[in-house]
Amino acid sequence: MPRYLRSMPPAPAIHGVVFIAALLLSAPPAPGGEAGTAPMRTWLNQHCIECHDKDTKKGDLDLTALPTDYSDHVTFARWVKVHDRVRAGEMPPEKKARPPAGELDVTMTALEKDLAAADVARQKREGRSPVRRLNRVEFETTLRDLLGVPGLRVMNELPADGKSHGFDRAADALEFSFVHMDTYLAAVDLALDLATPDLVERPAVFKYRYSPWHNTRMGGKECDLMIHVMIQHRTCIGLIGMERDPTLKAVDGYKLLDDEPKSTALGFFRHMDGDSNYGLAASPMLSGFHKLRVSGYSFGWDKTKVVPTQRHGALWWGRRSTMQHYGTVDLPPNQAAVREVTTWVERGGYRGGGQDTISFNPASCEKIRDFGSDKATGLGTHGPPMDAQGVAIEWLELEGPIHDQWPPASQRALFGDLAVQEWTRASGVPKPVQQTWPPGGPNAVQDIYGDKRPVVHVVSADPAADARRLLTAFLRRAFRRPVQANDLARYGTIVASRMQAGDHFQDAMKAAYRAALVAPDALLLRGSGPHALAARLSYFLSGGPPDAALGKLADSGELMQPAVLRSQTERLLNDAKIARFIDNFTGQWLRVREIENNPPDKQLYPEFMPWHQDSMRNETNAYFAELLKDNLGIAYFVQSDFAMLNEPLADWYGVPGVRGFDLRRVALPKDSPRAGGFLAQGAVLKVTANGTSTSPVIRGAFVMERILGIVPAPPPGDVGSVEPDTRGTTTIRAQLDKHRTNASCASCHVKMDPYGFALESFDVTGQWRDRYRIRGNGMKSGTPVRPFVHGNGIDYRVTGPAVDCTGQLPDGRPFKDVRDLRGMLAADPYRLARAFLGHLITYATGAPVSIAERAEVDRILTKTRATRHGVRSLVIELVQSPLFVQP
Amino acid sequence: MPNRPSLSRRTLLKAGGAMLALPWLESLRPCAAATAAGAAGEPPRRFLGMMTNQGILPEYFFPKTAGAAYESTPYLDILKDHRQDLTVFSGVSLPGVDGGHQAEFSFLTGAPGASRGSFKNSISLDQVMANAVGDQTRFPSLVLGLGEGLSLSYTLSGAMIPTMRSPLQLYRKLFVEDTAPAKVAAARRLQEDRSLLDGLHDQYKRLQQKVGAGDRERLEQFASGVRDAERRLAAAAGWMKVPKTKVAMPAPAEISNGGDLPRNTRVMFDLIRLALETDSTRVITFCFSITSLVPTTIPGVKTQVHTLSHHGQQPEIVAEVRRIEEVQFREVAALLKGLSDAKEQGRSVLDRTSVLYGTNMGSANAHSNDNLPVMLAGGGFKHGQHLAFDRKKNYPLSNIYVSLLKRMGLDIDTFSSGTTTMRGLEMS
Repeated sequence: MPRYLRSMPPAPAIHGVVFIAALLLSAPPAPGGEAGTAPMRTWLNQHCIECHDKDTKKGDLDLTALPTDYSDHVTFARWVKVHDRVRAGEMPPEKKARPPAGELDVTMTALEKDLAAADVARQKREGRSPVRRLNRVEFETTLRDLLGVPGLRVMNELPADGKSHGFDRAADALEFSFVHMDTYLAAVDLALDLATPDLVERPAVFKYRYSPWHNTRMGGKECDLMIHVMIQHRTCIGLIGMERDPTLKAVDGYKLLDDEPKSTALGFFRHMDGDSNYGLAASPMLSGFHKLRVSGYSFGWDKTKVVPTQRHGALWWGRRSTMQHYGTVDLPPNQAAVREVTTWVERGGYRGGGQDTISFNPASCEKIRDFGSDKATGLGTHGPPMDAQGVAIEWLELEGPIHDQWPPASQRALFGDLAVQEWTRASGVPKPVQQTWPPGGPNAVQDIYGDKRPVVHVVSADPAADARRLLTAFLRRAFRRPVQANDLARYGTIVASRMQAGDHFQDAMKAAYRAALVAPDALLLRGSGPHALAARLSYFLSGGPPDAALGKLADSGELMQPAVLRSQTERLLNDAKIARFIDNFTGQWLRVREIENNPPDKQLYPEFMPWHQDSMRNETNAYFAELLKDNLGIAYFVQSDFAMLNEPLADWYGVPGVRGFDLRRVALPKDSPRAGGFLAQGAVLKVTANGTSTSPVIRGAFVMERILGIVPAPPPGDVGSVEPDTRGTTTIRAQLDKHRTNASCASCHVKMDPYGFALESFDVTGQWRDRYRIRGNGMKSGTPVRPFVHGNGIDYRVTGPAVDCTGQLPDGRPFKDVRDLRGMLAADPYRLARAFLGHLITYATGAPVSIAERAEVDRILTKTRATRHGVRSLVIELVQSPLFVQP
Repeated sequence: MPNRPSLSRRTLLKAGGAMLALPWLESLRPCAAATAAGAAGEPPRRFLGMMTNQGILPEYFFPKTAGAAYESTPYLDILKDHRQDLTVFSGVSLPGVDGGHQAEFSFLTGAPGASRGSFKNSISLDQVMANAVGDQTRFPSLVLGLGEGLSLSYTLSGAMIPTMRSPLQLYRKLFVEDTAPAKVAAARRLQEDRSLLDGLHDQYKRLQQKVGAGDRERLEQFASGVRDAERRLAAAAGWMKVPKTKVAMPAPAEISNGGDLPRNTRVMFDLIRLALETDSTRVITFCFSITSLVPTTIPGVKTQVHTLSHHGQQPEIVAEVRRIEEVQFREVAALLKGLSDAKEQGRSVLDRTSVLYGTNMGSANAHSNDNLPVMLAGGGFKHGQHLAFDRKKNYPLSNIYVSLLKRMGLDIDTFSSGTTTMRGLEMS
C-alpha cells in the first residue's frame, strides 16, 4: 500500500499516552531479546505491572501487551516514553515504592542501549532526514534568488504548510497534493513573468515630491490628498514650524482658501486605521526599487497650541490592501529631518490591487478624530482639545526605479548577456509574450509608459547554442548540483519543441525554466554529499539556495572539510541573509509569526497601537540577532542585563530614557522586570495570550516546550475547560486551583502552570501589572494614568483582583515572582542549551533528536560549555556535527 | 509518520479506490451523466457542509427538551419555518478533536489532535464525496468561504484546499463563458500543462527507484499529487466543450465592504443555491472564517468577532455576539427556503441536499470543543426532532459523516472516527 494512504490522522491520545489500537495488539510476537529479555521483564513485573497490566491499564498502558518489535514506529516511541519517564523519576509515581537506584539504572541503561541500536538501524534503513519539499517560505525565497526578482510575493498564494515538532521543515508535515502542484506552478508563472525583460535601456529615474497642498488630479477635480484628509476627517492642522497656522483653511474637500498657503507642514494627530487611510497621490510608473522619503518632525500639543516635545515620532510606509510594510522611519522632535527607506515598489497598484496607492501612516499618533472645525465658518481645524503628540510632514517623496546594475539581475538570470531589443514585425521572429504590468496608479502624474510601452524581445542569433549555454547555467543554480547530459536533453527538448510550435525563443526558454522550477530536482531537498550539504547549510542559515561561493566549494568537495565548513558557516552567519534565518526560526520557535492574531481587546487595552506590535516583533528578532552576533550564553534566553528597545517599547515597558524609533541595546538593572530575555518580551507574552485574558496553563506550556524542551502531554479528552471571566469576580488562578485539586489534572499541571503563574505579572500586551484590568468606566475609579486615550474616555479599571505571581517549581522550590523564577531557570544553562539545540536540530535538519542521537547532543553541549553555550557556538558546532553533515 | 492503524483506513481505500478506478477521460460525458441520473428517475443527491469558526452561543441554540416536541430556542425560532426539515443535535462532539480554535481544521475531517505539534489533517468528507461523484458535474466540488482563508476541505494528504471568496469570480466560474480566442488559448495552455505534468510524474516515478524504502513511499505522495493535478486538467478539458448553464441572476458586485456580513453572506448563499440548482456541482463546503471581522453593518455591533468570543460572560458583549449569530441563522434560513422553493421533478432541491451547519467550539468563551452546536437540514432524512445525547459523555458527531456518505449513495461504512451511522437519524 502506498504510504500516503497510510497517513492517517493520529489516534486519539488518552492521558498523554499514544493510544494503541487493536491492530498492534495482534502484532507479530516479539523477536527474542530486547525488552523481552528476562531481567527486563522481571523488573517491569516487579515495579510497573501493578498499574500497567491488562486490567488496570493506567494511562492506557498495558505493558504485558506492549510488543517489542522496535522497528515499528509506534512501539518504538512508546518504549522511549517508558524509558524517559522512568529515568526522569516520574515513574513509578511518588506514592509507590521506589525501585533500588542501582537496579533501575542498570535496567534502563540496557533498555536505552537496545532502543538506540534499533534507532541506528532505522536511520540506516530510512536515512536521518527524509526527502522533503521546499516549504512555501523557502520556495518564494528560492524564486526570488534564482530569478533576481526580490519584489516577488507569492507566499500567500501557496497553501500553508503543516508543522511537525514546531517547525515547517519536516518531511511528514510537508505534504503534497494537486493543490500544491497547481499553486506552485502558478507561483512560478508569476515569477517568470516578473523576470521577463520589459525594457531595452535603463529607465530614467522618476522623482516626485509633494508638499501638503500640492495639487494633483483625483476624480477629475483639482484636489490635494492630504488636505482632503484633513478636511474629511478634521484630524490635521496647518503648521509653520512649531506654530499652528490659523490661516490654512479649505473651502471644501478640494479647494484651499488661500491660493498660496503659508504653512510649511501639515500636522497629524491620528494614525492610519480602517476609516482613515493616507495615501500618496503618485504611484511608480515602473516596478523596482524606490526610495521613499519624508521630511518631518514630531511636535507636542497642549489643548490649543503647539508645544515642544521630547518624544520622537514615526512614519510608517506600506500598502494597506496587500498588507505590505515597506519600512518605518524615525522623526526627531521639534525640528524637521529627512528620512528615507529603500524598498521594492510595484508599478501602480499591486497585481489586481485596483485603486491601490502607497500608504503613509503617522504611526506614533493616537487615533484622535473629529475634533471639530471652526464653528462659525466650518473651515479649518483647531486641533484636539486635549494633550496629544503630533507628526508634522513637510513633504513626501518617491524616487525610482533605482537599478544598481543594467541589465537587471532578472534579465541576466534568464538570458545571460543576450541583447534585448525592441521587437517589430520586421524582426522576423514571432511576437513574444510581454511582462504583465499592473495598471498605472490611479493618479499617476503622467504615465509615460502607459499605452505606448514598446514590445521588447531577447535576440538570439544561434538559439540552439544559446539555449544550451543558458540552460547549463540556469539548471546548475536551480538544481543545486552539476548539470548532466540528460538534464540538458530533457530541457533542451522543451525549448526545441516550443520553437517548432511557433513560439519565440524567449518564450520557449521560459517554458523550459518553468518545467525545471517545479521539477523534483528543484523542489526537493534530499541526498548526501557536498552538494546536499551546501543546500542544507544554505537553507538553514540563508533561507534560500546556495550562492556561487558555496556551489564552488561543493563542486570541489572542499566543503566536506570541517575547517572549510566552519568558515562557510561563519560567513553565512555574518551575511545580511541571516535575517531570513532569524525571522523564520524565532517566528516559529517562539511563535512570534503569530503576533498579528488575537489583537488586544480595544476596551481593556486601548493604548495598544500597531507600532507597539511592529516594534515587538522586531525586538525579539533583534535580541536573537544580538545573542547570535556576540555569542552570548544560553542563560540570556531567560535572564539578561539588556534589552533591545525603542521609544514606544521602552514607554510600554516602563524603561526610562529611550528616545527614537530605532531599536538599540539598552542596559538594564538585574531586578528590572524587563531583564528576563525572551520571557520579558512583548511578542512572546502577546502570542501566549488571547487578546483578552492570560492563561498560566498556556504560558506555562509554552515555557516548558519552547524554553525547557519538554513537550507537555495534551489534556485528556474528558476534562472540562476553564471559562474565562473578566467581570472581576474571580481570577484565573482561583479557577485553576479548583482544577488542580483533581489529582489526575494536578499531575501534569503542577509541572506546567508554575511558569505561567510567574508570567501572570504581564498582561496580554506584555505590560507589567499588579492588578487585573476589568471593564467599566475608568474615569470614575480614577485609576488610569491618563484621562483620555485616542481622545476617548477610558473604559477599563485597574481595580480588579491583585495578581498572584507566586508559585513553586515542580521540584518544590518556591518563587515569589518572575525575577525569582528566571534566576532559577538561568542557573541550569545545560538544560536550556539542550532544549534550544533540540529545536535548532529540528529546524536545521527537519527531524527531531532521536534516542540514539542524545549522546551526540551531549557532545555538542560539552564543546560549547566554555562559551556558556553561546548561541553562535551552538549553531557552528551543530553544523560540524554528523547530525548535520550526514543526515 | 508512524504507521498508526486507524479505523478510517478502509474508508479511504474505498474512496481512493473509487477515484483511481474511474476512467476519467472516458467518463467525461457530462450530458450522458446527467441523462443517466435522469434515467434512473431520481434527481441527484447533494451535500452542503457549512461551519462558522467563532462558536454559536449554546444557551440560545440548544433546546431544553428532546424529541419531536422539543421546545424551541431563540436561534431555532429563526428557523421555525423549517422545523420539519431539520434535526438539532446536542451532546455531540468529534472524538479527540481539540485545541480550541485549532479544531476548526477538523470539522469535516474529524482528524484528532490539532493541539499537538505533529498534527496532520486528513481528507475531508466532501472530498471523499467529490472523488466519488465529482466527475458527473462541471465542478467536482466547490470550496467556498467568507472572511479569512480558513477552509473546510482537505485533500487526501491533508492539504487545505483554498476557498473561493469572491462572489464575482465564483459567478464567472459557474456561469460565464470565455470568449472564443480565450478558449483557444486556454485549451492550448491546458494541453501544455498536461504534458508538463505527465513528464513530472515520470520523473517522480523514476526517482522512486533510486531512493530508500521510506522515501519511496513519501515520493509516491508527490507522484499522485502530480497525477491528480493532471486528471483535474483532463476533466476541465472535457468540460470546456460543454456550454455553461445560463442563469437569470445578474453578475454580483465584488465585495466592497468585508465587514458587511449580512450582504456578503446573502450573495454567496444565492450562488450556492444556483450552483446546486443548475447541477454545476453536487458537493459544496462553505466556511464562515470571521475571526478578525468587525461586522459593522449589523446594528449594535462594533467589535471584532474574536474579541467578542472571549465575552467573559459580560452581558453586553454576549448581546453583541447574539446579534451576529442571529444574522447568520437568518441567512441560513433564507438559504434553506431558497433550496426548498427550488423544484426538480416535483421535489424540492432541499430534499436531495443534506445541509450541515455547526461550529467547532462548544463554548467559544472557554474555547472548548465538546457539546458542539450542530444541525442538519434536508437531504431526505426523517427530521423535525432534537436528538439529545449525553452532555457529559458526548456521542461521536463523526458518525454523521457515515450517515451523510450513505445518503450520497456511497457504500462506505466508516469514515475518520465515525464507525456507524448516527443513532436516531434515519433516512426517509
